[in-house]
Amino acid sequence: MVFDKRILRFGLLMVLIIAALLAIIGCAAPAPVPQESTGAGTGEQEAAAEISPEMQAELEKFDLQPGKPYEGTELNFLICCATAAQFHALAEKSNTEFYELTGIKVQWGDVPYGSFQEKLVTEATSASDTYDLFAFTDAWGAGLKPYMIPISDKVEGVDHIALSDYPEAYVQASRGLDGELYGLPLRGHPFMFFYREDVFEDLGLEVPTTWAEMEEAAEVIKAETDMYPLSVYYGINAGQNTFWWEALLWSNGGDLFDENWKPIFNNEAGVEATERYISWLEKEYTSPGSVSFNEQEGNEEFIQGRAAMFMGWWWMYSRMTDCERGAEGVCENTGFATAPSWEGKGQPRTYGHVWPMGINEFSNNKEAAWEYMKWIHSAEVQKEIVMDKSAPEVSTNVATRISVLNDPEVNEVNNGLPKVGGEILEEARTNPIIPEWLEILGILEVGINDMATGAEIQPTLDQMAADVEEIMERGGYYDK
Amino acid sequence: MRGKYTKFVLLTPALLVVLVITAYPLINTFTLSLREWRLDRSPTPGDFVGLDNYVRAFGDRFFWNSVQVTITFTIISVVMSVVIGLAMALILQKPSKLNTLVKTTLIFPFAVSPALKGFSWRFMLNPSWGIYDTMMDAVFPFASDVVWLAHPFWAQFWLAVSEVWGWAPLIALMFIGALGSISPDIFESAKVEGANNYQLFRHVTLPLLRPVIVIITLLKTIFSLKMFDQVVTMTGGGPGRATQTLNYFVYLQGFRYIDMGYASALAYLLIVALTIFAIFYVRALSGEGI
Repeated sequence: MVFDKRILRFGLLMVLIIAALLAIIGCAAPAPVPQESTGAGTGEQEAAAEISPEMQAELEKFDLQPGKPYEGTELNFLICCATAAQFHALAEKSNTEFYELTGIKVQWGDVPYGSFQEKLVTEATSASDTYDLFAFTDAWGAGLKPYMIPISDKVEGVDHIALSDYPEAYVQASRGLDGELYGLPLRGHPFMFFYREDVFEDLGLEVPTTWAEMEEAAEVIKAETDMYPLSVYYGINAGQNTFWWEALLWSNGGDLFDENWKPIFNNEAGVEATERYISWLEKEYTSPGSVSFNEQEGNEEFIQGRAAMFMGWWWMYSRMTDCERGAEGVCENTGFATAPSWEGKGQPRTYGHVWPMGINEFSNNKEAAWEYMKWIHSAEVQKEIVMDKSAPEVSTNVATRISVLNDPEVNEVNNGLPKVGGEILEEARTNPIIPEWLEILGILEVGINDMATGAEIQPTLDQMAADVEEIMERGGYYDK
Repeated sequence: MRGKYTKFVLLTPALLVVLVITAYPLINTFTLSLREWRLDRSPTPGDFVGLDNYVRAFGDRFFWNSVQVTITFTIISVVMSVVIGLAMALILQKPSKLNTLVKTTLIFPFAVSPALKGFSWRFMLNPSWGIYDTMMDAVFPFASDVVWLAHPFWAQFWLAVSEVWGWAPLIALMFIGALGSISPDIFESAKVEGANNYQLFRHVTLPLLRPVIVIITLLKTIFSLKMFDQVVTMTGGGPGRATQTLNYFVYLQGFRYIDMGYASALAYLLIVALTIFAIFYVRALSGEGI
């Protein structure tokens, strides 16, 4: 009987403990209420420390608050791929130079790109204050902006951050549907044409300015060398196979939607562009494996010397010119140019891909986060980053400010790449910044992959357009 | 006192844990499946829409594609896993030092993370530098032009192979255990009666292994139905939608397109299918027959 009572007591105790835990969990999970901006971080200190004239000049340059009011604050910045040179250099600088100026530490996240979107969505939508700052690629922005604070007013108050100093495509991608600015372009990439200078020189080829010239060059390279002329990537991976397709579509005067949000990429211009895109596979300009390649694998074909031409983001240039990484002859002979245009149809138009950076609506350190944004988006910091060629792990050519892209010193140490990138960005455009975009992108990338693996082009484009229209209809874009 | 209440008291903590970590999410997911909720529009669930999300699923050709892919994948992977596992068990059942060593190492493929398996197989099948692709080209020169992950059939096949690579050794270990429990006297008697090796296998081994085969088949079926990791890392659901399994389709809707209402409805449809197999599995385990 004593034993029974003990068991009973133990059981009841367990029930009480678990019930209490449940109650605590329930009470500790209030409805998500955005944190009010307090005007001060957790480490705010009232007393201003003594400031040297040099420090004062530095603070004024970046429009930072004097007296280190947020000293001791630790910001968490959710971003992918922190070890990539374009991010690594910034992360390093943050905890030296920015820390010295403000006393704010910044912890950079390092989430793999493949799972980054899920991490962002989970953090943003769970009203979590774990991360103070988010970086996001433009295509994901529309879904995240409800969870970020608008910063248009803040930006207006800072002299050294002028929106006119950013490519228009980048600024558009940083805005929400309401026209408000929710982020500033942290990293941005023009879509460029890369080629093997030595191969072109040996074969007497000119750098192509039109798709037709590129195809002529491809024929010569195919006949005269054992390389694939191109390295295309038709595989399914976060919409990467749409970049090149869009360059063709847009340069042919086509578009994804008309002014009423009806898909039109299956019209004559769309079909012509798609047929051309898929024909490169059929003509064996690119490896048969291209049908399953993602962007990295496509780039690797070029780096390993198996392909003579490639189109991709400019940040890849530092990989392609890393002599320890690639096949012999690649690093010294990687040339770049703007994307070819459609013959007789004007300027090339490509996708300008941008990573805006914004502040989490639920952050407890919004003001400290804004201090960091003012510093990291300054032209001066951008210039320092792209000038630093001290080590491969920090060597990057990526900048977003037009003034930095056109800076002669910057161009001198980056082989003129920033200036060419800037020219591309003048004509670059962004994808539709609408919440439905990711679903639409899923339709497009699967359809393109289908066509690359043999599906008929016109019927597939028609079906893709019908599927996209259904998504838009569900999103309420059409009058009933 | 002991007989009447003790068992309930002892069970209470476990039941509470099950309620919190299983029943609550199940109920919550079901209610979400009856609501409109796009996370990119609102942080909180929207209006109740009745069975709209389920109706949408049944009219969604991509959903039906994922059902068909899941069934095909399940059949290929279950049949291959069980047959290869059984063959391995028959080869390795005789005691020897080599067999002991092999049996010890058999568990390793199962211990490899499924996501890593997917990445590894993707690299190994790469037409430019993949080791398996090179080996296949050497053995079957007529297939040298085949890009394994670019063809719908082969992509499904290799996805299944990546799964079988991990599961067949584990199943072999299960079968080795089951074979060891069969009395040698039965085989001796059959041999005395003049049975050859094939007849021994067909009329003695297989019937005696039947309960184990049923249990393993059901278990593997449940795991195959919820195939996800290798789809993400090996094929991305492609080519086209050829390897887009139902679980991956649910993930796309929920975490890529952040349509939580629809994703919850799809998840529930998967749960129903899994529950049916789980019931059969439990009945088989408890010896009630299926």
